[in-house]
Amino acid sequence: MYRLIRNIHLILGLLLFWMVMMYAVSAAQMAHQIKIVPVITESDVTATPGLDVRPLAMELMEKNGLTGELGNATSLPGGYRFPLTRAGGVTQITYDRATGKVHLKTSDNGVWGILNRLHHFHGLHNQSGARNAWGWLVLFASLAMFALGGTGVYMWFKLHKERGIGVVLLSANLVVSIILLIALRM
Amino acid sequence: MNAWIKKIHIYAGLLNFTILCVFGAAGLVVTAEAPDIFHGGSEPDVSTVPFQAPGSASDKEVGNLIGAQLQPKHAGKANVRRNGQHQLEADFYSVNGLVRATYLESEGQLKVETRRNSIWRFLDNAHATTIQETASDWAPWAWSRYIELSIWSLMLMALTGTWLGLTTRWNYWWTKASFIAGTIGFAVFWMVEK
Repeated sequence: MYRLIRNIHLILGLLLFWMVMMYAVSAAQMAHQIKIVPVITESDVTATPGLDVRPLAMELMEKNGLTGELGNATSLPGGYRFPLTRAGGVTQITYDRATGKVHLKTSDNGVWGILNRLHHFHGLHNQSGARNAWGWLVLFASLAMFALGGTGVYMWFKLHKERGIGVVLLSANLVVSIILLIALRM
Repeated sequence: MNAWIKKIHIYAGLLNFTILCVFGAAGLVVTAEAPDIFHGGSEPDVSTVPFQAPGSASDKEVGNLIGAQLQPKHAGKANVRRNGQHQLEADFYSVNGLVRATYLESEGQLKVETRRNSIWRFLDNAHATTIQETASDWAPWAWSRYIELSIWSLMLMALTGTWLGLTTRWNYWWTKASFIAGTIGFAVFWMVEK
Protein backbone atom coordinates (compact mmCIF):
# COMPACT_ATOMS: atom_id res chain seq x y z
CA MET A 1 0.00 0.00 0.00
CA TYR A 2 2.76 2.46 0.98
CA ARG A 3 4.62 1.80 -2.27
CA LEU A 4 1.49 2.43 -4.34
CA ILE A 5 0.75 5.70 -2.52
CA ARG A 6 4.37 6.81 -2.89
CA ASN A 7 4.31 6.12 -6.62
CA ILE A 8 1.03 7.99 -7.09
CA HIS A 9 2.52 10.99 -5.23
CA LEU A 10 5.69 10.85 -7.33
CA ILE A 11 3.93 10.50 -10.68
CA LEU A 12 1.35 13.23 -10.02
CA GLY A 13 4.00 15.58 -8.68
CA LEU A 14 6.30 15.14 -11.67
CA LEU A 15 3.49 15.27 -14.23
CA LEU A 16 2.25 18.56 -12.79
CA PHE A 17 5.56 20.20 -11.84
CA TRP A 18 5.46 22.86 -14.56
CA MET A 19 1.76 23.52 -14.11
CA VAL A 20 2.10 23.96 -10.35
CA MET A 21 5.09 26.26 -10.88
CA MET A 22 3.07 28.26 -13.40
CA TYR A 23 0.24 28.72 -10.86
CA ALA A 24 2.62 29.62 -8.04
CA VAL A 25 4.78 32.04 -10.04
CA SER A 26 1.79 33.78 -11.62
CA ALA A 27 0.10 34.00 -8.21
CA ALA A 28 3.22 35.75 -6.92
CA GLN A 29 3.10 38.07 -9.96
CA MET A 30 -0.51 38.99 -9.17
CA ALA A 31 -0.03 39.26 -5.41
CA HIS A 32 3.00 41.53 -5.81
CA GLN A 33 1.59 43.35 -8.83
CA ILE A 34 4.66 42.74 -10.98
CA LYS A 35 3.83 44.93 -13.93
CA ILE A 36 3.14 43.42 -17.33
CA VAL A 37 4.20 45.92 -19.99
CA PRO A 38 2.76 44.99 -23.37
CA VAL A 39 4.75 45.46 -26.58
CA ILE A 40 2.39 46.84 -29.22
CA THR A 41 2.90 46.46 -32.97
CA GLU A 42 0.58 47.60 -35.74
CA SER A 43 0.33 46.55 -39.38
CA ASP A 44 -2.07 46.53 -42.32
CA VAL A 45 -2.97 43.57 -44.53
CA THR A 46 -5.58 42.98 -47.18
CA ALA A 47 -8.20 40.23 -46.94
CA THR A 48 -11.09 39.19 -49.16
CA PRO A 49 -13.76 41.94 -49.09
CA GLY A 50 -17.27 41.32 -47.76
CA LEU A 51 -16.48 38.62 -45.22
CA ASP A 52 -18.26 37.91 -41.95
CA VAL A 53 -16.29 37.69 -38.72
CA ARG A 54 -15.57 33.97 -38.58
CA PRO A 55 -14.51 33.52 -42.22
CA LEU A 56 -12.27 36.57 -41.90
CA ALA A 57 -10.67 35.18 -38.71
CA MET A 58 -10.05 31.86 -40.50
CA GLU A 59 -8.51 33.60 -43.49
CA LEU A 60 -6.20 35.68 -41.28
CA MET A 61 -5.18 32.59 -39.31
CA GLU A 62 -4.37 30.64 -42.48
CA LYS A 63 -2.72 33.40 -44.51
CA ASN A 64 -1.18 35.63 -41.85
CA GLY A 65 -0.39 33.15 -39.08
CA LEU A 66 -2.65 34.75 -36.46
CA THR A 67 -3.82 32.59 -33.56
CA GLY A 68 -6.16 32.94 -30.62
CA GLU A 69 -9.73 32.70 -29.44
CA LEU A 70 -12.26 34.84 -31.27
CA GLY A 71 -13.92 37.43 -29.05
CA ASN A 72 -17.06 39.54 -29.50
CA ALA A 73 -17.24 41.71 -32.61
CA THR A 74 -18.12 45.40 -32.45
CA SER A 75 -19.80 47.07 -35.43
CA LEU A 76 -18.05 50.04 -36.99
CA PRO A 77 -19.08 52.24 -39.94
CA GLY A 78 -18.36 50.08 -42.98
CA GLY A 79 -17.03 47.11 -41.03
CA TYR A 80 -16.31 45.73 -37.61
CA ARG A 81 -13.61 45.07 -35.00
CA PHE A 82 -12.91 41.93 -32.99
CA PRO A 83 -10.12 40.55 -30.81
CA LEU A 84 -8.18 37.30 -31.14
CA THR A 85 -7.01 36.48 -27.63
CA ARG A 86 -3.99 34.36 -26.77
CA ALA A 87 -2.35 33.72 -23.42
CA GLY A 88 0.52 35.95 -24.48
CA GLY A 89 -1.55 38.84 -25.76
CA VAL A 90 -4.34 39.99 -28.01
CA THR A 91 -4.67 41.04 -31.64
CA GLN A 92 -7.36 43.66 -32.31
CA ILE A 93 -8.56 43.28 -35.88
CA THR A 94 -10.33 46.17 -37.62
CA TYR A 95 -11.89 45.28 -40.97
CA ASP A 96 -13.35 47.33 -43.78
CA ARG A 97 -15.95 45.23 -45.62
CA ALA A 98 -15.86 47.19 -48.88
CA THR A 99 -12.09 47.19 -49.44
CA GLY A 100 -11.02 44.17 -47.40
CA LYS A 101 -8.44 46.33 -45.62
CA VAL A 102 -7.47 44.91 -42.24
CA HIS A 103 -5.65 46.79 -39.50
CA LEU A 104 -3.90 44.54 -36.96
CA LYS A 105 -2.95 45.90 -33.54
CA THR A 106 -1.04 43.21 -31.68
CA SER A 107 -0.28 43.45 -28.00
CA ASP A 108 2.34 40.99 -26.72
CA ASN A 109 2.51 40.56 -22.94
CA GLY A 110 5.64 38.38 -22.74
CA VAL A 111 6.33 35.57 -20.29
CA TRP A 112 4.59 37.22 -17.32
CA GLY A 113 1.54 37.79 -19.47
CA ILE A 114 1.41 34.19 -20.66
CA LEU A 115 1.77 32.89 -17.10
CA ASN A 116 -0.95 35.26 -15.92
CA ARG A 117 -3.40 34.26 -18.64
CA LEU A 118 -2.70 30.53 -18.30
CA HIS A 119 -3.53 30.92 -14.60
CA HIS A 120 -6.98 32.21 -15.57
CA PHE A 121 -7.86 29.90 -18.48
CA HIS A 122 -10.39 27.30 -17.41
CA GLY A 123 -13.58 25.55 -18.39
CA LEU A 124 -14.57 22.83 -20.80
CA HIS A 125 -16.77 24.85 -23.15
CA ASN A 126 -14.32 27.19 -24.85
CA GLN A 127 -14.20 27.82 -28.59
CA SER A 128 -10.87 26.20 -29.26
CA GLY A 129 -9.92 22.58 -28.71
CA ALA A 130 -6.59 23.59 -27.19
CA ARG A 131 -8.33 25.78 -24.61
CA ASN A 132 -10.70 22.93 -23.73
CA ALA A 133 -7.77 20.53 -23.42
CA TRP A 134 -6.22 23.03 -21.03
CA GLY A 135 -9.53 23.10 -19.13
CA TRP A 136 -9.36 19.31 -18.70
CA LEU A 137 -5.78 19.68 -17.50
CA VAL A 138 -6.93 22.27 -14.94
CA LEU A 139 -9.56 19.80 -13.74
CA PHE A 140 -6.92 17.07 -13.48
CA ALA A 141 -4.52 19.39 -11.63
CA SER A 142 -7.29 20.45 -9.23
CA LEU A 143 -8.10 16.86 -8.34
CA ALA A 144 -4.39 16.13 -8.11
CA MET A 145 -4.03 18.85 -5.45
CA PHE A 146 -6.26 16.78 -3.15
CA ALA A 147 -4.46 13.57 -4.13
CA LEU A 148 -1.00 15.08 -3.58
CA GLY A 149 -2.08 16.47 -0.21
CA GLY A 150 -3.74 13.22 0.88
CA THR A 151 -0.92 10.93 -0.25
CA GLY A 152 1.63 13.32 1.26
CA VAL A 153 -0.07 13.26 4.65
CA TYR A 154 -0.32 9.45 4.48
CA MET A 155 3.40 9.09 3.72
CA TRP A 156 4.38 11.56 6.43
CA PHE A 157 2.27 9.60 8.95
CA LYS A 158 4.15 6.42 8.04
CA LEU A 159 7.47 8.16 8.74
CA HIS A 160 7.53 7.67 12.50
CA LYS A 161 10.52 9.90 13.19
CA GLU A 162 8.79 12.92 11.62
CA ARG A 163 5.51 12.51 13.47
CA GLY A 164 6.25 14.88 16.36
CA ILE A 165 7.00 18.05 14.44
CA GLY A 166 4.58 17.01 11.70
CA VAL A 167 1.67 16.83 14.14
CA VAL A 168 2.50 20.35 15.33
CA LEU A 169 2.66 21.73 11.77
CA LEU A 170 -0.45 19.94 10.53
CA SER A 171 -2.43 20.92 13.64
CA ALA A 172 -1.30 24.52 13.29
CA ASN A 173 -2.38 24.46 9.65
CA LEU A 174 -5.78 22.96 10.40
CA VAL A 175 -6.56 25.16 13.40
CA VAL A 176 -5.41 28.42 11.82
CA SER A 177 -6.92 27.87 8.40
CA ILE A 178 -10.25 26.56 9.66
CA ILE A 179 -10.60 29.45 12.15
CA LEU A 180 -9.72 31.92 9.40
CA LEU A 181 -12.11 30.36 6.88
CA ILE A 182 -14.96 30.39 9.41
CA ALA A 183 -14.15 34.00 10.35
CA LEU A 184 -14.10 34.97 6.68
CA ARG A 185 -17.44 33.28 6.02
CA MET A 186 -19.18 34.92 9.01
CA MET B 1 21.46 16.99 1.65
CA ASN B 2 18.43 15.10 0.36
CA ALA B 3 17.42 14.29 3.94
CA TRP B 4 17.03 18.01 4.65
CA ILE B 5 15.30 18.66 1.34
CA LYS B 6 12.85 15.89 2.22
CA LYS B 7 12.18 17.49 5.61
CA ILE B 8 11.53 20.87 3.96
CA HIS B 9 9.18 19.19 1.46
CA ILE B 10 7.23 17.41 4.20
CA TYR B 11 7.03 20.40 6.54
CA ALA B 12 5.94 22.79 3.80
CA GLY B 13 3.26 20.31 2.75
CA LEU B 14 1.90 19.84 6.26
CA LEU B 15 1.89 23.58 6.93
CA ASN B 16 -0.11 24.22 3.76
CA PHE B 17 -2.32 21.14 3.54
CA THR B 18 -5.63 23.00 3.92
CA ILE B 19 -4.69 25.73 1.48
CA LEU B 20 -3.67 23.12 -1.11
CA CYS B 21 -7.23 21.78 -0.76
CA VAL B 22 -8.61 25.32 -1.17
CA PHE B 23 -6.52 25.73 -4.35
CA GLY B 24 -7.81 22.39 -5.65
CA ALA B 25 -11.39 23.35 -4.79
CA ALA B 26 -10.99 26.68 -6.61
CA GLY B 27 -9.91 24.83 -9.74
CA LEU B 28 -12.96 22.56 -9.54
CA VAL B 29 -15.30 25.52 -8.99
CA VAL B 30 -14.13 27.37 -12.10
CA THR B 31 -14.06 24.18 -14.17
CA ALA B 32 -17.64 23.40 -13.17
CA GLU B 33 -18.49 27.08 -13.73
CA ALA B 34 -20.40 27.30 -10.46
CA PRO B 35 -22.88 30.21 -10.65
CA ASP B 36 -21.66 33.55 -9.34
CA ILE B 37 -23.65 35.99 -7.19
CA PHE B 38 -25.61 37.32 -10.17
CA HIS B 39 -26.53 33.92 -11.58
CA GLY B 40 -27.05 31.88 -8.42
CA GLY B 41 -30.83 32.08 -8.61
CA SER B 42 -31.35 33.60 -5.17
CA GLU B 43 -32.69 37.10 -4.70
CA PRO B 44 -30.55 39.61 -2.81
CA ASP B 45 -31.47 40.74 0.69
CA VAL B 46 -32.69 44.33 0.34
CA SER B 47 -32.97 46.94 3.07
CA THR B 48 -32.96 50.74 3.32
CA VAL B 49 -31.09 52.93 5.75
CA PRO B 50 -31.12 56.70 6.20
CA PHE B 51 -28.10 58.45 4.70
CA GLN B 52 -27.30 62.01 3.77
CA ALA B 53 -24.14 62.96 1.92
CA PRO B 54 -22.58 66.44 2.23
CA GLY B 55 -23.60 68.58 -0.72
CA SER B 56 -20.00 69.29 -1.70
CA ALA B 57 -18.75 65.68 -1.59
CA SER B 58 -17.47 63.92 -4.71
CA ASP B 59 -18.85 60.52 -5.68
CA LYS B 60 -15.70 58.85 -4.36
CA GLU B 61 -16.02 60.65 -1.03
CA VAL B 62 -19.67 59.64 -0.82
CA GLY B 63 -18.64 56.05 -1.51
CA ASN B 64 -16.18 56.22 1.38
CA LEU B 65 -18.87 57.69 3.66
CA ILE B 66 -21.27 54.91 2.67
CA GLY B 67 -18.56 52.36 3.49
CA ALA B 68 -17.98 54.03 6.87
CA GLN B 69 -21.70 53.88 7.66
CA LEU B 70 -22.46 50.36 6.42
CA GLN B 71 -19.13 48.76 7.32
CA PRO B 72 -19.71 45.74 5.08
CA LYS B 73 -17.79 42.79 6.51
CA HIS B 74 -14.43 41.89 4.97
CA ALA B 75 -14.98 44.32 2.10
CA GLY B 76 -12.40 46.71 0.73
CA LYS B 77 -12.91 50.21 -0.61
CA ALA B 78 -16.07 51.14 -2.50
CA ASN B 79 -16.24 50.88 -6.28
CA VAL B 80 -18.47 53.82 -7.18
CA ARG B 81 -20.34 54.46 -10.41
CA ARG B 82 -23.60 55.95 -11.67
CA ASN B 83 -26.40 53.62 -12.77
CA GLY B 84 -28.88 54.12 -15.61
CA GLN B 85 -31.02 56.43 -13.43
CA HIS B 86 -27.91 58.52 -12.61
CA GLN B 87 -28.00 57.28 -9.02
CA LEU B 88 -24.72 56.68 -7.25
CA GLU B 89 -23.99 53.01 -6.67
CA ALA B 90 -21.25 51.90 -4.31
CA ASP B 91 -20.18 48.26 -4.64
CA PHE B 92 -18.35 46.53 -1.81
CA TYR B 93 -16.93 43.20 -2.90
CA SER B 94 -15.74 40.71 -0.34
CA VAL B 95 -14.88 37.04 -0.17
CA ASN B 96 -18.58 36.43 0.62
CA GLY B 97 -20.05 38.27 -2.35
CA LEU B 98 -21.30 41.80 -2.87
CA VAL B 99 -22.98 44.58 -0.91
CA ARG B 100 -24.35 47.19 -3.30
CA ALA B 101 -25.58 50.49 -1.88
CA THR B 102 -27.65 52.75 -4.12
CA TYR B 103 -27.88 56.33 -2.89
CA LEU B 104 -31.43 57.65 -3.26
CA GLU B 105 -30.50 61.29 -2.86
CA SER B 106 -33.97 62.82 -2.97
CA GLU B 107 -35.19 60.40 -0.26
CA GLY B 108 -32.07 60.67 1.89
CA GLN B 109 -31.72 56.89 1.94
CA LEU B 110 -29.47 54.07 0.89
CA LYS B 111 -30.95 50.99 -0.75
CA VAL B 112 -28.66 48.17 0.34
CA GLU B 113 -28.62 44.90 -1.60
CA THR B 114 -26.61 42.03 -0.15
CA ARG B 115 -25.76 39.16 -2.49
CA ARG B 116 -24.11 36.31 -0.60
CA ASN B 117 -22.26 33.80 -2.71
CA SER B 118 -22.28 30.00 -2.46
CA ILE B 119 -19.69 28.16 -0.38
CA TRP B 120 -18.03 27.15 -3.67
CA ARG B 121 -17.60 30.71 -4.89
CA PHE B 122 -16.47 31.61 -1.39
CA LEU B 123 -13.62 29.08 -1.70
CA ASP B 124 -12.76 30.44 -5.14
CA ASN B 125 -12.61 33.98 -3.73
CA ALA B 126 -10.64 32.77 -0.71
CA HIS B 127 -7.93 31.32 -2.95
CA ALA B 128 -7.59 34.71 -4.65
CA THR B 129 -7.41 36.74 -1.43
CA THR B 130 -3.81 37.88 -1.67
CA ILE B 131 -1.80 40.58 0.07
CA GLN B 132 -3.35 43.07 -2.36
CA GLU B 133 -6.60 42.68 -0.41
CA THR B 134 -7.77 46.11 0.76
CA ALA B 135 -10.17 44.95 3.49
CA SER B 136 -8.87 46.22 6.80
CA ASP B 137 -10.28 43.71 9.32
CA TRP B 138 -8.19 40.94 10.81
CA ALA B 139 -9.58 37.84 9.06
CA PRO B 140 -8.84 38.79 5.42
CA TRP B 141 -5.55 40.32 6.56
CA ALA B 142 -4.43 37.10 8.26
CA TRP B 143 -5.80 34.86 5.51
CA SER B 144 -4.03 36.85 2.80
CA ARG B 145 -0.72 36.41 4.70
CA TYR B 146 -1.38 32.70 4.90
CA ILE B 147 -2.05 32.62 1.15
CA GLU B 148 1.23 34.49 0.61
CA LEU B 149 3.06 31.87 2.64
CA SER B 150 1.32 29.12 0.70
CA ILE B 151 2.26 30.60 -2.71
CA TRP B 152 5.96 30.46 -1.86
CA SER B 153 5.52 27.11 -0.12
CA LEU B 154 3.88 25.72 -3.25
CA MET B 155 6.94 26.71 -5.29
CA LEU B 156 9.20 25.23 -2.63
CA MET B 157 7.21 21.98 -2.54
CA ALA B 158 7.23 21.64 -6.32
CA LEU B 159 10.97 22.30 -6.55
CA THR B 160 11.98 20.09 -3.63
CA GLY B 161 9.59 17.31 -4.63
CA THR B 162 10.83 17.30 -8.20
CA TRP B 163 14.44 17.35 -7.04
CA LEU B 164 13.79 14.41 -4.71
CA GLY B 165 11.92 12.47 -7.36
CA LEU B 166 14.53 13.00 -10.05
CA THR B 167 17.58 12.40 -7.85
CA THR B 168 16.41 9.49 -5.74
CA ARG B 169 14.16 7.60 -8.12
CA TRP B 170 15.55 8.33 -11.58
CA ASN B 171 15.89 4.64 -12.37
CA TYR B 172 12.17 4.07 -11.90
CA TRP B 173 10.56 4.11 -15.37
CA TRP B 174 7.55 6.16 -14.26
CA THR B 175 9.78 8.92 -12.89
CA LYS B 176 11.23 9.65 -16.31
CA ALA B 177 7.95 9.08 -18.13
CA SER B 178 5.86 11.36 -15.92
CA PHE B 179 8.42 14.19 -15.81
CA ILE B 180 9.01 14.09 -19.57
CA ALA B 181 5.28 13.83 -20.32
CA GLY B 182 4.55 16.76 -18.00
CA THR B 183 7.31 18.85 -19.54
CA ILE B 184 6.31 18.12 -23.14
CA GLY B 185 2.62 18.63 -22.39
CA PHE B 186 3.22 21.99 -20.76
CA ALA B 187 5.61 23.07 -23.52
CA VAL B 188 3.01 22.22 -26.16
CA PHE B 189 0.32 24.28 -24.41
CA TRP B 190 2.78 27.13 -23.98
CA MET B 191 3.62 27.15 -27.68
CA VAL B 192 -0.03 26.88 -28.74
CA GLU B 193 -1.27 29.60 -26.40
CA LYS B 194 1.57 32.12 -26.60
